[in-house]
This record gives sequence, structure tokens and C-alpha cells, in this order.
Amino acid sequence: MASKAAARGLRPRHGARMVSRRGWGPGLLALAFACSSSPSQSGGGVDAAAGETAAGASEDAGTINVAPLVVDPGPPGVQAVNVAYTTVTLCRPGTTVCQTIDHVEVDTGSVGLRIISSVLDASLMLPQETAANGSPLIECYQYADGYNWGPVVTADVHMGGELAAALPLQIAGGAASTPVPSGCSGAGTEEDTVSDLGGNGIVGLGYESTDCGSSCASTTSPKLGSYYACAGSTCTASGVPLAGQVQNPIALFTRDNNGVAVELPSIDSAGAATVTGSLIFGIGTAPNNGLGAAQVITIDTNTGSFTTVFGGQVLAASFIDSGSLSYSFPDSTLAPCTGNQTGFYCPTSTVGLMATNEGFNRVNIPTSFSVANATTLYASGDAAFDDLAITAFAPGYFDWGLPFFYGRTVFTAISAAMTPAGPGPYFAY
Amino acid sequence: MPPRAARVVVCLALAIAAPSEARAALGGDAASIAVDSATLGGTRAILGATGWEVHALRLPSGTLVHEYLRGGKVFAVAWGGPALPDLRLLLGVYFEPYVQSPQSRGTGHHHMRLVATPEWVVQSAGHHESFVGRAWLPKQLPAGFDLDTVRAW
Repeated sequence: MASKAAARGLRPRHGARMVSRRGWGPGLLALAFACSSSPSQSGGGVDAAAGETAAGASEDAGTINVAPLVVDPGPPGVQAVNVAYTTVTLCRPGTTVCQTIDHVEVDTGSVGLRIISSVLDASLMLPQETAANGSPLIECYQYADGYNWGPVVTADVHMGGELAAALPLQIAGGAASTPVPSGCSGAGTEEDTVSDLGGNGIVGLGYESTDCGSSCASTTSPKLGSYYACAGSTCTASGVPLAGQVQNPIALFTRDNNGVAVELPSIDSAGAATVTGSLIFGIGTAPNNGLGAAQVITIDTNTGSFTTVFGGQVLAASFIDSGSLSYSFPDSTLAPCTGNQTGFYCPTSTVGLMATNEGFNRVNIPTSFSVANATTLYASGDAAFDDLAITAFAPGYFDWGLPFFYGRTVFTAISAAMTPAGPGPYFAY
Repeated sequence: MPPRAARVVVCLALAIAAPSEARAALGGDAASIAVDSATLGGTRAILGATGWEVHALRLPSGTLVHEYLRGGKVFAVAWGGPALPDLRLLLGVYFEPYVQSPQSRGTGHHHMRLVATPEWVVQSAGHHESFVGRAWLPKQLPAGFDLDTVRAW
């Protein structure tokens, strides 16, 4: 509850400026690049005039599907390590009343857009979704370390030059007067402030198109701990049709809607203060998003997992996830860190390692990676590391976190979406 | 009446007598897991082991929960499946310290959390619709107990 009080006390102080827009062509792209080219400006406000263009401006098919990525310390007070952020623009559906928000975490390990309520300008007045019984629809979204609790609203969401019209999204912390049901709060820590979440929001661009799916659509026994119909302070679990659930914005784009490529440059093994890259929407839908030499590994449609073979271990629940700040895998030979980095690996010198990722399609990709001393890396004060690794306490998985993405283009294809390499879900790199 | 049936009857009786009493699972006694069973709504099986017992609970969400007991006390729990269980019930008195702990392994790292103290350890990991975790009391582990067996995945 303490964090809720903090959320109420916060005023919009970063990543938040209202802009009124008439057109969404290259102008938005210019706006996006303006953010991208000045990543040290965590305030992120963009002059409305800079983003204005005449309505009906023609789209540039080569770059309209690109949104900026930056790895930096994040909003003031966050001090993030290995978090990739992008910029999104939210508009009240069907209007030009909009707000551009920077430092939204890019997470291929979750699904759906969530914005911290204290960042959102209340005058946007995004329409609240209602449950089947007419009460406001409030969602609990769970992570391994906690949860977001807040109402489901709709907005026209722009990423790069793409538009997801009337996208259902969550306003995290936007239901502070409604007590969090125990089936939600039992997940761990409430992450409804900028500092608790580590960003002004998070956008899940994982392999699914909705954030819960059929188990939340059931009207008779909806999945617990997800969607609630809340009348006053009384909330009851509520089934929500797929179209009303918080959506992967990519799935609602009118084009380039079958997946995404995350593209980050190689960095020095000692770390980097800031890294800029690109989110490229679509797979094989435009000149800039072909698979090229990338190999496809298909994944379990229920869990998103594939198999990593590493050091003689067969890790069948492995996954690729831009939202994890480090590699995570079991290795009894690497020296463990002590002190503040307990849990991470701390070899005396950087170690080069090799693993093989195997998809359900039996495609094998030998993959090299390196592990450096985490205590040394953290002491550098940098924000980006391609060799940060932590132990995996549960045998059976290898988490290919953000370090894996540097120097690669990593594709995530959405379930059942057709691509030149066949339908998703899959990863490719 | 065979011992197992007797235990089930006792557990059911306790659950009915104290349905809202969410006593700790971790660190709690056998009655506390009966409360878990009633509250979490799962189906339970008791697996024999030498020196300790493992109670397996399949929740309606599909998530599997294992509770490890010795001498009627829960010394470890584990979970795995498409949704997190209610950790407030599973971790009991250790839930609030876990939630409040600054040991979150870095801001923005939503897919893993490790918190270790001399008295208790909680480890949670996973991603969209695929979660695993475990917790234990280091000072209450039976002699010869292998922590690698604390798993529900």
C-alpha cells in the first residue's frame, strides 16, 4: 500500500507532454528520432511543432515501421541496467488529444502496454473499459517479481509510424482507491510507480497477441488473478473476451503486424553508458525487416519455450527475453559473486561460452556468449552490458536476456501470424 | 482408518473450522496447508519420502504447488505453472519481508527475483504464463535434504 500512496503523490515530471496532432506520417517518425537522438534527455518532452505535419502526408514505406530503442539509466531515480526503452504516443481514441511518453520498457517476455498512472496526463481522459456486468474493468498483471494493478482503458497508440487504434492497455496504479484483491497482491511487490517498475511504462511485445487469452475469456470460470469487475471497492474475477483484453500493440497494427525485430549494436565488453537501436515492426513485410540469414527456431505455443543445450545440460524451458537484464543459466563452474551482486556470476576474467538453441522445428543454432565479472560491471556505472549473467536457481531453463540482443537482430513472431518463414510463434536470429 | 484417510479427515475438519485463518504455510504446521488447500481451491496428493513428506497441490490455474514437511512443519515450498500462486498464503509470515526486501536484483528485471537471508530464502522466476519458484528455511532443512528436490516443475 505504501507504493500506492507514493503513486498518488507523484506528479507527471518526465516523459509527459501533451501534444495535439493532426497527422501521423513522417512527422511522428521525426518525433521518434528526435527522442532517439537525444537519449540523455530523460525528460523526453517533444515540442509539438516538431512533430506536426500536414494531414495525409505520404508514408515512407522503408522506415514507417521503425521505433527508437535506447538503453540508458532510465527516468530520473531509476538507475536501470540493461533495460531497453522506446517511446509511445497515446491519443484519446479518434481525437488529436495525445501524449508522448518516453522510457517505456520493451519486454519481449510479456504482452501488452502498461503506463504508470502518475506519468499520464489526466486530461487525456482515456475511456475506461467495462466488464460484462457494467462495472469498471481492472486488471492484475503478474510478473515473476510482482504485479501491476490498474484499469483497462483504450487509446490510439502510435509506435514509430504505426498505429494501433483503440488499443486496450493498462494504467498501472490507476485504481489506487480500489483495494488490490489478495489473488493479485499475492504475486509479490506492487510495481505501479516509475521507480518500482523501472520506467514510465512497459510494452510487452511477446509472441502472443493478447495478455491472457482464452483462459481469461471464460465467463464461467475465468482465470484467477487477472481481470476483475470492480464495483466500488468490491472486485470479482471477470471473464473478458479476447478483443477486450490488453493487447500486443503490434497485433493491432494495420500492417507490419506479424512480429517484431529488436536491433541493438555491438558494444564494448566493459559496458556502454548509452546504446541506441531500433524496434522494427513486421517480419518480411517491408524492405527493412526481412529475415535474411536469420535462422528460425519455433517455440512451445503455450510457454514460449525452446531447448538450450549448454555444458551437457538440456534446458527445455529456455526463452529469449529483452525484459531480462542478464543472461540466466545454471553453471556450477563459474565463480559466484558476493555482496550486492550475490546471485550473479563473477569470473576473474571474461569467459567465452557456447550453447546450442534448438527449436521445436529441430533447427539448431550454435550461439556464443560471454560472461564478465558482474561486480566489476556494476562498479563501472554503465547502463549496458553484453556479458552480465546470473544463476538460474531452477534447473531447466536458460534465459537469453538483453545481453543476448547486442550485436544481433532478434525476431519474435506472433502466434498464428503468417510470415515468410511460416506462422508464429518463433524466435529468429 | 488408514493414516492417510485420517489425516484427510482431520485436515478437512480444520479447514471447515477455520476457513479464513490464513496461517503460514512456510514455517507453519500441517493444519496451515489444509487451510491453503481450502483457500487456494486445489486438489491435494501426499507423496511419501524418507524423513519428510511432500504435499502436492494442483491449483485451478493449473499451477503445481509442493509443500515439504517434517515433523508437521513446513520447511520448504515450490511452485510452477501458468500463474503465480498466492504467495501470501504459501510464504505466510515471510511474505511481507519478501515483498519489502530491497533485494530485487536490479530495477526493471521483472522476470526474476532472488532474496536470501540467513533465516529464509525466496526465489521466483519466469515470463509470460510460465512461472517457477521456491522458498525454504535454511535452518530447518532435514539432515541430508537435497535442495535441488525443492521444485514443482
